Amino acid sequence: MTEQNYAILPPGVESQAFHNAVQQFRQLLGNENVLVKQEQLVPYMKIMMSVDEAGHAASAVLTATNVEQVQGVVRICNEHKIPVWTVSTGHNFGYGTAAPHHRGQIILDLKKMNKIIEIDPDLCTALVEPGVTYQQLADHIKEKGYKLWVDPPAPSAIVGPVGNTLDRGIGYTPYAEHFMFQCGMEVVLANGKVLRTGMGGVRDSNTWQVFKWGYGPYLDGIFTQSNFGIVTKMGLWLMPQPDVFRPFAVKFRKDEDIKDLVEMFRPLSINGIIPNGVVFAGTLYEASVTVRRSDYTTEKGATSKDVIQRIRDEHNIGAWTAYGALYGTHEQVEVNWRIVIDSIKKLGKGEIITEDHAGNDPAFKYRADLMRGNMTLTEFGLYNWRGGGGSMWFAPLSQAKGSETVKQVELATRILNKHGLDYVGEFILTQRALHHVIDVLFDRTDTEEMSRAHDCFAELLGEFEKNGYGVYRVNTAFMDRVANSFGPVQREVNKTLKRALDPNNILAPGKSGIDLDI
Amino acid sequence: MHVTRRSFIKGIALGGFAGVLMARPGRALARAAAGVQSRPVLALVSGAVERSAFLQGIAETVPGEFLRVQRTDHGMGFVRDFNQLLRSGQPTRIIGLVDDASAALIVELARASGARVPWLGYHAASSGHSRHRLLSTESTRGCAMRLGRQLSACGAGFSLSEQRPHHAETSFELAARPHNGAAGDSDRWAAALGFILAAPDAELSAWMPPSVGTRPPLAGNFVSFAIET
Ligand SMILES: Cc1cc2nc3c(=O)[nH]c(=O)nc-3n(C[C@H](O)[C@H](O)[C@H](O)COP(=O)(O)OP(=O)(O)OC[C@H]3O[C@@H](n4cnc5c(N)ncnc54)[C@H](O)[C@@H]3O)c2cc1C
Repeated sequence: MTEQNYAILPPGVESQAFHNAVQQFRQLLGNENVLVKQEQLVPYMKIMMSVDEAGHAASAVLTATNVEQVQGVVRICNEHKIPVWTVSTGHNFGYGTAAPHHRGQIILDLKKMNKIIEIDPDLCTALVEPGVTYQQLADHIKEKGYKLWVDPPAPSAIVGPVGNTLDRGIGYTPYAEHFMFQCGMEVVLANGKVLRTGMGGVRDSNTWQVFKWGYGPYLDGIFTQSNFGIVTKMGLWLMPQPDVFRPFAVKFRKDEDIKDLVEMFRPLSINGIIPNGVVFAGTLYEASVTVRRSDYTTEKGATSKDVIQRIRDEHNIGAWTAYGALYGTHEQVEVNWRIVIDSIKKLGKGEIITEDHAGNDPAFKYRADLMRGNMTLTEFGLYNWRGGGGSMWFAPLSQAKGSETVKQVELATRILNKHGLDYVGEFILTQRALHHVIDVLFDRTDTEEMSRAHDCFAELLGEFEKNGYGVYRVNTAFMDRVANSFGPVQREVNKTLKRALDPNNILAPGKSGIDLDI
Repeated sequence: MHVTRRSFIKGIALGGFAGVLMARPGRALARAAAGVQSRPVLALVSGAVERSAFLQGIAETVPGEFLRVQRTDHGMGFVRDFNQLLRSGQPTRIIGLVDDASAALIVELARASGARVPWLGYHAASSGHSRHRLLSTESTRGCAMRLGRQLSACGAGFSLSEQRPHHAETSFELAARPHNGAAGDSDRWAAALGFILAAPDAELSAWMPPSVGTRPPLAGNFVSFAIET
C-alpha cells in the first residue's frame, strides 16, 4: 500500500485530503508518531466485541507528546473534518479496547504523554498526564518514599488513572469510585483552546487539586464518558497509607444468599465500617482464577448447574464470595472487625476467611492486592474461562438491596443461558449502589456463538431496560443503543452541548451515542 | 517464568524437546530450498502448546541456534520482563501461540511499546476439527491462504476466515469437513502455523507438516501472533 492509496479513509474524507492531513500530522508530530502501516494499526484491533474488526478499523494512529501537539492535531482535524478517537493508555478491555467507535476514525494515542507532574505527599494529591499507568504511579510513590496508595482497577499495572477515570471506572480500595476522587482537569477543546476546570482557571492557583467544584457550573463531569474535549492533565486524590490493612472474605454457599449478604453489608458500607469497594463474586467469576470451563466440559452452550456445583465442591468456591477490608489505626480496625464479625454471626451464615486462613489461595491473594492498591493481573484468567477472545462487560447498576440483586442475577442468568452463555458476574458495593459487572464471554472463532453473544447482549440491554435498569458504561458497538435507554431529552442535551463545543463533530463521534451525524 | 534475556533457553529446551527438533540435518536443505533466511526468533508458548507440533513447525524453518522459546503466563513477573524486552531497543521477531489471557496482555503490551503486529490469529481446536479467525497484513499476505492449503492437505475438518481490515481486498473464508480417518492429524494446523509464522515469506507449497505422532492433539482455544520490535 502506498501512502497515497489508503485502504481506509475517515468517513466523508477524500483520499487526497486525507493524504494532505497525514502530511500535516507528520510535520507536527514527526514521522514516527504518525502510524498508517497495516502492522502498526493491527495492534489497535483487539476489539473483543461481537462484531467484525473491520467496523472498528482506524485509518491512522497519532501519538502526541505535549499539549501543543494535541492542539495541533485538533486544528488539522477541524480543517479536514477528520474524526479523532482519543485513548490514554488504551486498554479498555471489554469496552472496545483501543479501537475507535467507527471505521475510519483516526486514533490519538496519548501513551507518550506520561509525566507525573506533581505529587503532594501532605495533601495526598497527584497531577498526571494521560499516559501514566498505575504501575508508574505506584513505582514513583515507592521511590519517593511517600506513604500513599493508588486505587487501580483489576488490570492495574498496565492501565492508567486518566483513561479509567474518564470512563468512570472503579477500583477496590476506599477510593474505589474514581471520578469521586478526581480533582481538576486540563482539557483541549475542539476549538483548540485549553480549559482548566475547577480552581485551575484562577491564575497561580494552588488549590486546583484540592477543591473539586471551583466556581459556577461544575464542568468536569461533561468531559467523562463524552466527546466534548481531550483531557491532557488530571488531578486525583491518593489514599494515605493506613497503619493497619485487614482484608477478609466471607463465603456463602447458596445462590439465594446474595439477598441476605447485601442486606448485611449495605449498612456496614454506608456507615463507613467497611470503607472500600466491597465485591460479591459469583462462582464462575471466582473460579476463573484457577479453573477453565474445558476442565469440566467441552460441550457448547451454557455450563450446567451440575457442573457449577462440582466446581464449587472441588475447588471450595462459594456461590458468592464477599471481599472487603478494614483500614485505619490498630484500634479502629479492631473495633470495626468486631462489628463485622458480629454482623456475620447475627446473619447465621457465611464462612469468614482471614488472610491467615486463606494461605496461598490465588483468588484471595489477588483480591487482597486490589483492596490494598497493589498491582496484579490475575483477573485476566477470565479470558481463559471459555476462551476465544470474546468479552463484553454488561454492567447494570443496582440499588444496594438484596431483593434487587436477586432479580438482576436471575434475569441475567436466564438471558445468558438462553443464548448458551454463562453468568460470570460480580457486584461491587459503594455504599448505596452496586455496579453489577457481568463479563459476557464468548468464542470469536465460532461465528454462530459470536452472533449469539451479540443477540444476548442486545437482549440483556433490552430486558434490563424494561425493568428500569441502565448500564453505567458499555462497549463501542452498543453505545448508541444504550444512549436511547437514558431517554430523548438527555440525548438532545448532549447533542446541544456537542454542537456548541464541537460543531465539526471531530472529537470521538459516537462516544456514548453522541454524534452530530445521527 | 520470566522473560529476561538471560533466562532464554538456548535452542528448544522445553519439555525435553531438543533432541526431536534439532537432530534433523535434512531440514537444512529443505530450508535452503524454501529460501528461508535465518534470523533470531523468540517463540512464546503457554500450557500444552509447548508440547505441541507448533514448535516443531517453527524448528522446520528456524535453526536451533536462532530460536528461543519462552513460556508465558499472566503474572506480573512475565509482564514486567516482556515489557523490558519490547522496550530494549533490540530488533526482535516474536511469534507465539498462547492462551487468551496471556495473549490479551502480550498484544496490548506490544501496542503500548510501539511494536508492529503483522499477524493476529484466534484458533479453536478439538479432535478432528479446528477453527481459525485471522487478521493479517501486507507482510503476512498469503499466509492465511497457505495455512488453509495445509489444513486442506492434512484432511482434518476446519474453518478459516481471514480479515484484512486495512486492505481493499475482501476477506476470504475456507472450510472443509474431515476426510476419513484424518482426525489423528488434527494437530498439524499447529505445525503449519509455526512454520508460517516463523517464515512468512518462505515457499511452502511442497512442505508438509510432520506427522504428530503419539502426542495428544492440541485442544482448546489459542491465540497466535507475530510481533516485530
Ligand atoms: C480482567 C479485567 C478486569 C477489569 N476490571 C476493571 C475494574 O475493576 N474496573 C474498571 O473500571 N475497569 C475494569 N476493566 C476494564 C478496563 O480494562 C479498565 O477500565 C481500564 O482502566 C480502561 O483502560 P485504560 O485505563 O487504558 O483507559 P483508556 O482505554 O485509555 O480510556 C478509556 C476511554 O476513555 C476515553 N478517553 C481516554 N483518554 C481520554 C482523554 N485523554 N480525553 C478524552 N477521553 C479519553 C476514551 O473514550 C477511551 O476509550 C477490566 C478489564 C479486564 C480485562
